[in-house]
Amino acid sequence: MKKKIKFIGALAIVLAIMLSLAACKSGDAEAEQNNVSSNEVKEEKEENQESNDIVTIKWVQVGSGMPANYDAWKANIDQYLEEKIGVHLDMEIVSWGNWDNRRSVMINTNEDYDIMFTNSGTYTSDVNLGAFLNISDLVQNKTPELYKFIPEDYWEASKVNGEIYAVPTYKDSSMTNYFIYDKELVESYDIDYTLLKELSDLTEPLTRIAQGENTSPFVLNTIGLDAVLSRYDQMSAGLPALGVRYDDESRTVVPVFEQEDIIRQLDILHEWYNAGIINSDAATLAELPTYRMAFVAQGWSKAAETTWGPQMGVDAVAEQWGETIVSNDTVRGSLSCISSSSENPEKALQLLELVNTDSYVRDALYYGLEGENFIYTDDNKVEKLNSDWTMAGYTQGTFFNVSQLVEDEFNQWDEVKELNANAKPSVLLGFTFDYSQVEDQLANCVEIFNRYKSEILTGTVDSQTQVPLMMEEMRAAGFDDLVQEAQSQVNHHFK
Amino acid sequence: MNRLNEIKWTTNVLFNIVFLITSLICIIPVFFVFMISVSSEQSLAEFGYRFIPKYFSGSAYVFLWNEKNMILQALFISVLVTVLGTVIGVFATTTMGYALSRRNFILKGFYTWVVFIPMIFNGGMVASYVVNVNILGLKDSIWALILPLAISPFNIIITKTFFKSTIPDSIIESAKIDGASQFSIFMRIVVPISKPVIATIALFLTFAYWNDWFQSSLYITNSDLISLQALLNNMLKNIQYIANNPTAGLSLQQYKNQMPTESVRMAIAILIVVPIACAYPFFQKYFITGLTIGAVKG
Repeated sequence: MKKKIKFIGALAIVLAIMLSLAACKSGDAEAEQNNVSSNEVKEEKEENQESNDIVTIKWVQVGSGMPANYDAWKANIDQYLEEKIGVHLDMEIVSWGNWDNRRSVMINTNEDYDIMFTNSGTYTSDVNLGAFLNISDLVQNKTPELYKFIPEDYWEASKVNGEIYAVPTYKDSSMTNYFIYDKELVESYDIDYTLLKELSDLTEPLTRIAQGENTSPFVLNTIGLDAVLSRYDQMSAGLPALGVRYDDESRTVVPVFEQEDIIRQLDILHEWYNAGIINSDAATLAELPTYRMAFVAQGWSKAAETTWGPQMGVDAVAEQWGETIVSNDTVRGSLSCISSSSENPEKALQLLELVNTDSYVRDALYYGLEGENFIYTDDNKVEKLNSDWTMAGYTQGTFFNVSQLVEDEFNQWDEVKELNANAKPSVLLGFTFDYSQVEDQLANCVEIFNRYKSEILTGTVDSQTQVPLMMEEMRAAGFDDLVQEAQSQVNHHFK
Repeated sequence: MNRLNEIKWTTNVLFNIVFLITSLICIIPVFFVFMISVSSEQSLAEFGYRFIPKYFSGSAYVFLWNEKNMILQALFISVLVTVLGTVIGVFATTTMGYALSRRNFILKGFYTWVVFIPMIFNGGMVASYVVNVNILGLKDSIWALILPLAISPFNIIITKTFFKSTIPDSIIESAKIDGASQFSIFMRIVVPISKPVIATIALFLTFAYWNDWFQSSLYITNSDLISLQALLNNMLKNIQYIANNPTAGLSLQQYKNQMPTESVRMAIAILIVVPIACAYPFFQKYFITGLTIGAVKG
């Protein structure tokens, strides 16, 4: 008897639960319907008074994490932006280490954002995925000031299939390599660094330093001296073995490692390695030491004082190596793309225009909150109060309207601007290699290249014997198909 | 009699050597990391990593002390996530495992498949991101660090097998006869005699939570919610990213100067190792009993 009652009781409870669930469900459905209709009303409203409404633009950038005083900063900048263009800003700063994963899931799940930072590694594939909005017309019609501000070459370099999908960042977007030395050291060895223009010129002085100091003056890590390849436009394919020389008017796609000039430079590297100029563990060294006696880096000559010197902890001097080049890859180091599902692409572009033309907004993004992170001095320069600001200036917009620092005696951006203006455009500017037809061959070749690159580019092995081995392997994996496909696309694009 | 069980002298020595080597393999890296953390920068630059650094320096720990607000906040998040996650995870896993182990549970077959299939095929990063962010709205909340890791099918299968093989039906029946409800059977009969499996699951979960940085890298932007592990991982990856992205130009290299030094990174690694190393002996007690119970029965 008792059992029966229990059973009935249990049954009743189950029924009650089921009923209540059902009730919830219908309630939910109703609520949803209400929501939908209210949304519709809202949208209609928005359409009616679009010009007056304040929209929030979500901007995703890479940096070293969210700033601690983000809320205060946001309140301040929102007020200014609201007056100017009716926009509120919602920043998401993803730290560098998390960027690859986070970017990939945000793109793949079509998460809501308006502007996203991107760079050459993933730009074309994300465009092909349909993640970014084609702004070719919008940027010319709605934000002509922005369009005029950035030189034509840079827009050209941001094009995929002839359409613009990103606003390039007008900064040190051309590439110049420099030899950088410890000033005191070269002086003590009586070396006139200004006369050393090519790799071969460095052999003699570096040998002297290596013997005198009894250490390797030219420290490399697993990446090696990839600057030797920089004369070749690699078409963003991720395979440095394939390229077109940036000044080759015939635009012939060639196997880079079999070119005379590259072979010569690789021979020099091997010679250096044998002479002890390059450290013996270069092919396996993961992280470069902060102090190196001599090295090669991209930049501009004044950076010896502003960046390299402080980084090395000593006074540094720099001498240019080769010409300044602008190519797709150098421009695509920093791009701002607009989501294809953004509700306010025009406002987003207006915001980018303001960032590139209004020094106040630019400084806020670059230096942080006025009063907490920096203050303006009387002559309109900036005095940094701390280095807590974690947004990365290079992801946002141009450098040429950033206010100068108080301690800067000269404006290093003037030099950058000049380098940009005199840069030689690569013959492939504006061409994007669509490798979807040869994806397997490319992946295989990249794999093979990665196995060889550290040893070859650090001079650890003799390139005379190793490069033919590598090329043989690559040819077996379909390297010639890549050359053929790239060449036919190049011919088609520039016919 | 005693001689029968005695281990041969040679075997004994051999075993000791094997264990000595294994423990050295485990201890040396930690010791090495510690020595690097107390090396001075200058010593690192000139002589590289050494077991006994040329110049000692406590500057890494001084640096961490000066950043104590950030470090303590991160440590708090790590501990909170680990403790909360382990408690939630153990409760959910054992109750699920218990239900599946009962023969008279009608949906046993169905739920076993529900548990078993994701053990072999999982949805992958993008699918779980959609569920966690778009459906559950976990982005930038502490639950994003806890819930996705709380239940693993593998752990459920372990508990299920344990309950099935070690808890005789007669005990549960007798409790039922005494009028106990399912919940009190579980809490008062099953849990007390299942300490070994609970300790095992708790240990697995503690390690999983304590070592996790991946959830944080996907879901957390707010700097107040970053765990110590994510903080360390961020530092290392940031430095790598900057070193490997010369295309971004010199402007990116400028940020390298703000990155913490090598000894600071190693000091944080030590900071992460210590608490979990302290937790281990606590669990070990149950491990040993768990193993003996199995052996005697088998």
